Amino acid sequence: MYISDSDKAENDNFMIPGKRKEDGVPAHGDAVPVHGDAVPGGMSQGKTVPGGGMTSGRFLALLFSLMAAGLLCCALLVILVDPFFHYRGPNASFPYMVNDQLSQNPGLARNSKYDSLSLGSSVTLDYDKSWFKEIYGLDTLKLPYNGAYLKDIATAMEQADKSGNRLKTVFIAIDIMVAAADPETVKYPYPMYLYDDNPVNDVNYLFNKDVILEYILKPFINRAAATDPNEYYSNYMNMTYGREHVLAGHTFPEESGEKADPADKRDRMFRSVYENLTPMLEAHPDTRFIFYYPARSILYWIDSVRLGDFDAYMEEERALAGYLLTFDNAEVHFLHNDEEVITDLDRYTDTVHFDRDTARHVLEVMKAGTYRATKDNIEEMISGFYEIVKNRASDPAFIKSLSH
Amino acid sequence: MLFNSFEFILFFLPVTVAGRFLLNRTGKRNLSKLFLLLASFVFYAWMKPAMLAVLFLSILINYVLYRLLTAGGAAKVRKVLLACGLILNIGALFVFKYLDPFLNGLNLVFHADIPIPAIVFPLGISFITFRQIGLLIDSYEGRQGPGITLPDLALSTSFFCTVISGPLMSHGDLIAQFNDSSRDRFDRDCFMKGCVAFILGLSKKLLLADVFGRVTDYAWTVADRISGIDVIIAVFAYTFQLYFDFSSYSDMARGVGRMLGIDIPVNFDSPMKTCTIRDYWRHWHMTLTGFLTRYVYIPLGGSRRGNVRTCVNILIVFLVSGIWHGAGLLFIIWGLFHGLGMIFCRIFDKPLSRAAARKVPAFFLWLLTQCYVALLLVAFKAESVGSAVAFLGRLFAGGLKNFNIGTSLIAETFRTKEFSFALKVLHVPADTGNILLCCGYFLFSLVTVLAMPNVNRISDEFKPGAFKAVGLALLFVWAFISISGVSTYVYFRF
Repeated sequence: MYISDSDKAENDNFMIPGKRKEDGVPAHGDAVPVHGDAVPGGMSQGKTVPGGGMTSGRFLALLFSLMAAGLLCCALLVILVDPFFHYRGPNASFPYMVNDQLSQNPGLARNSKYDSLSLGSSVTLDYDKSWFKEIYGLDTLKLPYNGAYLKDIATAMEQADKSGNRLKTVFIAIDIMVAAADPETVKYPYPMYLYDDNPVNDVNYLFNKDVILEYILKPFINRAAATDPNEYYSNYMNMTYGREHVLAGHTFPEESGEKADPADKRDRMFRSVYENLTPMLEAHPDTRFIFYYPARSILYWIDSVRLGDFDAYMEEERALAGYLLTFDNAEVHFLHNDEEVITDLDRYTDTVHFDRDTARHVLEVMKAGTYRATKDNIEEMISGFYEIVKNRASDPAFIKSLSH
Repeated sequence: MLFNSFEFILFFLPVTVAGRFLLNRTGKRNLSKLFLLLASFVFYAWMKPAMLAVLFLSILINYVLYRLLTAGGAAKVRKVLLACGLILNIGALFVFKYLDPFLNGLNLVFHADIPIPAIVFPLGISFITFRQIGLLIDSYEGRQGPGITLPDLALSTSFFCTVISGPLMSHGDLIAQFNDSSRDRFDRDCFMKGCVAFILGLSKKLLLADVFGRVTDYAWTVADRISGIDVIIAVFAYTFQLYFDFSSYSDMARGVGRMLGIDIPVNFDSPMKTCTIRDYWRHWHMTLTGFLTRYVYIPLGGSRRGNVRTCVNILIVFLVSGIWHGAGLLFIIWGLFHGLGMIFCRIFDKPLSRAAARKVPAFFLWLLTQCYVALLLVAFKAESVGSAVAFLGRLFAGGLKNFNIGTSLIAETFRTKEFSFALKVLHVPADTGNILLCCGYFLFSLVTVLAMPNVNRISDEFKPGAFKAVGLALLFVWAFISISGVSTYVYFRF
């Protein structure tokens, strides 16, 4: 066994003028005691502990039984309630809290019954499930991802495909500003144990403090914390709306001298479109895909003009609409052409997110087809929107009225 | 792989413990050691398999050098071999740990555009390198004989209990234990004590260190607008985080070692109870202190060359320690101030010892020492000297009213899921609840580190009992269900 040069070190240690041993802990630099050495609490082969009524064997048996029982209780509770719908769809008798898109979307997609889907970013949060029934006659499931990239939309669709539901319609809100991202980019990393088919990594779900406390015990004790089944993920109740509120939180950016290259953005967008949207359109020939550009406020678009992005966005919208309309099962709506809506800041909480009435209005407008694009009117739609935005962006009086 | 992961607790640990002792029962210890070696490779490569290449290279190169150094030969040749070994090991450490910040610094200072290579940082490289350096120096000086085989060195270097975050254990000590036949049999007492240390370490990491970690992280993200009280909370939260984080890893390593019948040295011995900087370093990261004493301080002449030279030697040791902990001026400043603290303690050894022996002066000494240590730890968290100064400067921004805990921006981050839930059930208003939790965490932590025996002692002196089993099982389940989504160890970056 290695013997340390401790004599030398002891007398010449800048920490320890006179070496001491405290608390029975071997001093630093000591050789490690060998098996069976008389170190307090050190290793011994005895199976009983002097002075104690319990042997180490019995203690271990009790400890492991208790640990196993505790973990089993946790796992059973999670399996029984299944607040992320990983094993089965929502049970009508439990007051579920549904507010975590990353964790609850995949289970909802796989294990719910529905005939239509609403996909997209946070602008799709506040749709009420019952509106889809009223307006379209569809039983719709919302699967939003805040700040959704095209990959997020494709992932939601992939999960929905595992459900076996026959989809009549899929509503997809396209945020053009993130469409040119890398095809594999997602807004937030997924908890993969809820997305893949690997039962082993379900331990992350079964033994999870957040799941047990936040999603099982909390809604169970406080039923008011539960989510109305028509309003999964809705956020309007936490928001303040109105022109004053929007303007208070907004500052016009300095005009950028540079402009994004529209052709470059368009090309990058198509790399993502071909990987994330094309396969779903081709795989579901009998499903109606309703794509729409959401009604972001005029402020958002004026900001993008100042930042030099607007022309590139319009080129992307034009190209994407043209491409999507080559599919028989796709339609496209330019909802930001709804001038009355996008210029009425009282409808918004910030430059992007609109109120609940507007959310319903959006569905009604799409049903009516007011801003629906066809192969023949895409240019008209784009130029119409250009006019709305550019006129205002270059109108000093209008800009001044929006400055605070 | 992390100790606080499902894969480690549910799969790796039981399989490794069972495998070692079952193979030992066949009477073929080499087979058992091979099994441990393979398990250690799996453990090390779990997150980034490419890191294994660095480990293999380190083992092979150092084994060749060790064999040459222990084979005898001319003193000059041996000196050259040792120099080669030191250059290779320190060079590897420089490439993996310091090249990136070094090139960044050059680019910044000289406005240059030197390309920075993307190098994978191998976990535990600082620990691995120091252990290899220790082996080579011991071999050169004749303290380590020629009996170590390549598989033994491979197992000792990669042994999963110590490979990532220490303790810095000499290869000789560890290999002797792997070859000790009295450790081949499963020992229930040892296993029980190992379980106790592991459960307590796991709980310390998940239920305390990570909560303080969250508080600290948040404090630094809002560093430009926090108040004086927040700076105080953040500074001490980081002190607790670092202590609980690193010591919990050592507790778990020691616990797992015990389960396997291997003694791993104590690395922390209640450093927060100490009253002087000198005492602090006797109890904090003890194996690093021992390494630096043996391989830096003593070769420099230790205390045998007069007071001035001793002080210089102490400063050098702490500068090395600072650089070992990280690249950049902040770590050098941290080392320098600890060195100065050590020198101060050395010069005023007698009055300090007298003061420490009496209650009231001892309390003030303790307070001063712990505050000094905590303030210096800001260097570990800050990005630059400027940000550290700016952060501490917030202490004085806004006058006395900024020391009202009711105005704290970061107290809210103490709201863990379980306590948030409990406060809701008890209808405690949010603001009051936050302050209660903030004070509660600090108070509990203080009581834990000051009034209770540390995990080493609890596990060493553990006597089994039914209530203890219930308590430990509850702690384990609570910690186990807290694993999902927790942070990684702070000390991994060292």
